Amino acid sequence: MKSCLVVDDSPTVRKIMRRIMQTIGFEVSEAGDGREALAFCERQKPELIMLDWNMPVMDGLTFLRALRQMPGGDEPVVILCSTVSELSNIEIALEAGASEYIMKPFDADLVRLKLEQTGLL
Amino acid sequence: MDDILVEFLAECEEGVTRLDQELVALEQDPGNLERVAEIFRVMHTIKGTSGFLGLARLERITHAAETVMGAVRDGSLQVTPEIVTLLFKALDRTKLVLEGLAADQREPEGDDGDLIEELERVVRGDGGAASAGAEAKAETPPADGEEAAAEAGAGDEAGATAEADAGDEAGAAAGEAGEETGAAAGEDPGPAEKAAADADGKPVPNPEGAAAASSAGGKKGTPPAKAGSAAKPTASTLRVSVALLESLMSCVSELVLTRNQLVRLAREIGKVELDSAVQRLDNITTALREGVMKARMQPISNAWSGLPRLVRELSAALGKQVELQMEGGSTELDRQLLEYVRDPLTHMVRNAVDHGIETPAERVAAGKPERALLRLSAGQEGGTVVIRISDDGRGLNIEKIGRKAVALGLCTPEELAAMSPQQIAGLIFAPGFSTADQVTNVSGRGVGMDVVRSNVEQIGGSVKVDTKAGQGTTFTVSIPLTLAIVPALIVTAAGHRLALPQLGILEIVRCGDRDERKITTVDGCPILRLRDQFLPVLSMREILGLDRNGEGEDHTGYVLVLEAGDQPYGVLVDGVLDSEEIVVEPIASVLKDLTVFAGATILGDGQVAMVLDLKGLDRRLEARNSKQTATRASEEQAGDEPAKTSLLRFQAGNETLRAVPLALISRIECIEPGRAEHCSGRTVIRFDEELVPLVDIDGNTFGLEADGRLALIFADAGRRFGLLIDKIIDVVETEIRISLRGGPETVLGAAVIGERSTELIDIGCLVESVFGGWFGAGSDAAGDASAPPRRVLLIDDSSFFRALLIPLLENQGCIVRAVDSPKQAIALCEEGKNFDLIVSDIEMPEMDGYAFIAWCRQSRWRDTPVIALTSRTSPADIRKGEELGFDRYLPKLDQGALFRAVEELVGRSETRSLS
Repeated sequence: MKSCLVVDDSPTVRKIMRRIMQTIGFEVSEAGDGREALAFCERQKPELIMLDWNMPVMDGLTFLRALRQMPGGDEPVVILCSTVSELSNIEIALEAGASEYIMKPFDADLVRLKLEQTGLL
Repeated sequence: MDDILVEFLAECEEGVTRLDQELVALEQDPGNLERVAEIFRVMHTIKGTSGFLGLARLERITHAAETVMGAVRDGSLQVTPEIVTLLFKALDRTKLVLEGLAADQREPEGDDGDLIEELERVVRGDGGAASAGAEAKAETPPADGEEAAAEAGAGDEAGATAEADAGDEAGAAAGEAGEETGAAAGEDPGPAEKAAADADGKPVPNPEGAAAASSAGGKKGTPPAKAGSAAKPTASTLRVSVALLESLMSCVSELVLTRNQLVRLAREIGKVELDSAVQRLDNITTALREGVMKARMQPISNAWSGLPRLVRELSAALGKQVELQMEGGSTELDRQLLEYVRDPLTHMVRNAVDHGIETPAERVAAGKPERALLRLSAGQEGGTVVIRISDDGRGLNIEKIGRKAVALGLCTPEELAAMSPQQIAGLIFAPGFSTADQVTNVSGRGVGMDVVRSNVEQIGGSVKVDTKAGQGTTFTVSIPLTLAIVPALIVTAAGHRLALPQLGILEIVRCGDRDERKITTVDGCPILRLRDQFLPVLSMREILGLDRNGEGEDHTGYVLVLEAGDQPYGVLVDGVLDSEEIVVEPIASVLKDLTVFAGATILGDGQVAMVLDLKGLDRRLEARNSKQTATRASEEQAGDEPAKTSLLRFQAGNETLRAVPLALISRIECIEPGRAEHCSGRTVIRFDEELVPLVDIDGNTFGLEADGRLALIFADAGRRFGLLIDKIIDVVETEIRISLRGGPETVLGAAVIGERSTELIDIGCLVESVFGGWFGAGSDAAGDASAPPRRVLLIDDSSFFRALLIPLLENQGCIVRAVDSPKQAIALCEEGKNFDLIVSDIEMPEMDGYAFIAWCRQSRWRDTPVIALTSRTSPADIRKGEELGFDRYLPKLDQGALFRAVEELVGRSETRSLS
């Protein structure tokens, strides 16, 4: 089973995301902010990271940049999830190393579509 | 309600509370960008989550508010009291929607167009909102002291969000979750990292509760009228500080004590009205106690949440493959106790991976799957929580442990030899023990199993190890559910009252001389035989050093059968008074060396009683055992000072206790009906082709009723005989101190052994009774020095009989020459030797008695009288023997007949008359 790390500061969102990701067939781990996510990735690299942008302690973008600097940090597919849809934001995300960008809220079908685009499915 | 919705409501409740605080603080410090970002983030989160749940109203409101904050953040908008007021308005609307959502599980109908319009206008920079804002300013509550509250909130950030991590599991069980979070909130907000670590994996629907708890004062001022209703969605869970819980707990403890006191008083006074009130108080107190205790409980998974990671890291570092299975993580334990087990558990898991589990190659070689299984399970068993850590690894190396223990001086080789593998395995808990050849960077961190044990025992728990070579090792940790208030049994010993936690008591047995159960002394230790078990018994008086009776110990009272570790044991007390819930107070430091006490408590009548420590008692027992082993070893070494003799105590004939040295008994026979025979004036049993004479306790040797009785078979100077007895009582080891001489001949004297007077039987005297009569029949005739000695040739292949008959005949004034075969007798004849009398056995190898008599009658000795001694005593045998020329043909064991025959054939009187 493919592994997925859901990074979001909202437990509710994590819970929803967990359900979505499990429906698609992922083994889900969770992190509440960028720092936790980074600590997780230091131990093991998930194949997919569903990353929230706006989080306390360490935001998604900072995490993403740090992840990509780590040895083997370029391997996980990272989908940045945000409610912001401005093109400039999308560009910032992709430059920081996001594999895909997804608008919140989303559903399982949308995620699956994105994953197919990244080649993970 | 959908559990996601529940969670969402809880999350929003916290978010809204947070916003209340943050907005107030922002107004005081408009330039604080961090605060701005925080408010933005919280709103953003609510908005994003609402979007997932399709909550359009919430999403629109929070979106508009977020946009305002975004503008502030970007610097395009200055924070003014007006803007804050507007944001509060948005917040209030949010609360309103949430309230409706909680009530109906859907957003209430309503139009937020005006609010959103206002918010958007602010962002656009329209002055329209300004007047409204100015107006609202007056409403803004004074913010004195709220700065601090807000800061506390910020400080909690890390902890709070981390706690929320596993919110997934919170489910709809809000009530339960509330109890769990109560303790979590108590992790002081200061060290946020610690809070985060502790809370990892904990179901917390209320992640900012810590902040809420620490700044309750600040919060109260801000939310207007709606705060109460807004709290509704999460009213079933509430965080309280641990300090509050602890103070509640101590109040409950006091209440329990007061209750006990009242119950006792009510019993003494005996007024019905009082009784019923006390009864109610009793019930309520119990309910309250249980409630408060439950509030202190936390799932045990809190203590092992870090273990999966630990195992993963360790196994990777050591090149091992380990699968960690965890069961029963939801088992709850008092939070205080949980702290104590955290480290021991980590240590044992670390040990299991490092030492217990083999490398994949070793496992394959041993026929096991490469991947090892490490199981962690927890469950409640009675009043204890039992945690097991088991691996399917190589098992403990008992031999190595033993060697090491000896090398470390933990035990002597002799002690080791006497230990069971289980006991040897238990040595790993001894201080300073570590089996790893080299201290690895994994396990060798200065904490050993001794620390594990002391940690666990500190909280009244126990740890056991079970191991099977090649199959794995299981550590079992038992921990009491709680320590503060325990049901206990109040017992008395030497006039003192003591409390003993009921948890370890298996049963209570009344003991006394007149009771069925008696305490006996074996090996110098009091032992209780209970059903088919022998339990070592500790005397409470002795432990207390209050045994006024000195050595002559009184073994009457109650034995509390306790279990600690593997072996049940008994503690003898004088009486059992009552069962009471006691509040265990820590023991005064001056008394802390007294390991038998776990603490002290105040009893119902206000007096202080010491609380006994089961572990301490158990250790006392161990100490006694090892001391005894040592004593025994030294006695064995000293050899020539056998201070104590093992005596077999029995009853025979009457109720008198009699004893004989155990060492003299060669075996004990049960005589089946019909086995005893009566012949030639004695009662015998056939035994190994030999007739063993029996004797009763009074020295009688004939006409004994032996059927179904027991016979103690003695081997004395090559002769065997059996002493008939009725019943074996026990075996005692004691110093024989004869305190009374006299009485029947067979009694050596009387001694007091363990409170009861016991007759010591003189075996020497019994030997004479058995064999002496045999010898003694003709003893009157013996010793006539004037008579010439009669020369007797004895032919018998049995050295036993030769040894038996030689002194017998010598006693009759004969000079005996004994040979073991007729051939030798013939040789003597050919040598020219002459005898007055020949006594011959019949059954002999090569040449039997019949052949010998036939030869004899043809030889130079043809006139010498020959007596045959045989076990073949049928009339036909006798006739045959006499026909062949024997002068007498006698049963082997009939010494009387032998003496008569000797007298008749070569008697002195006859000789005299002849001469």
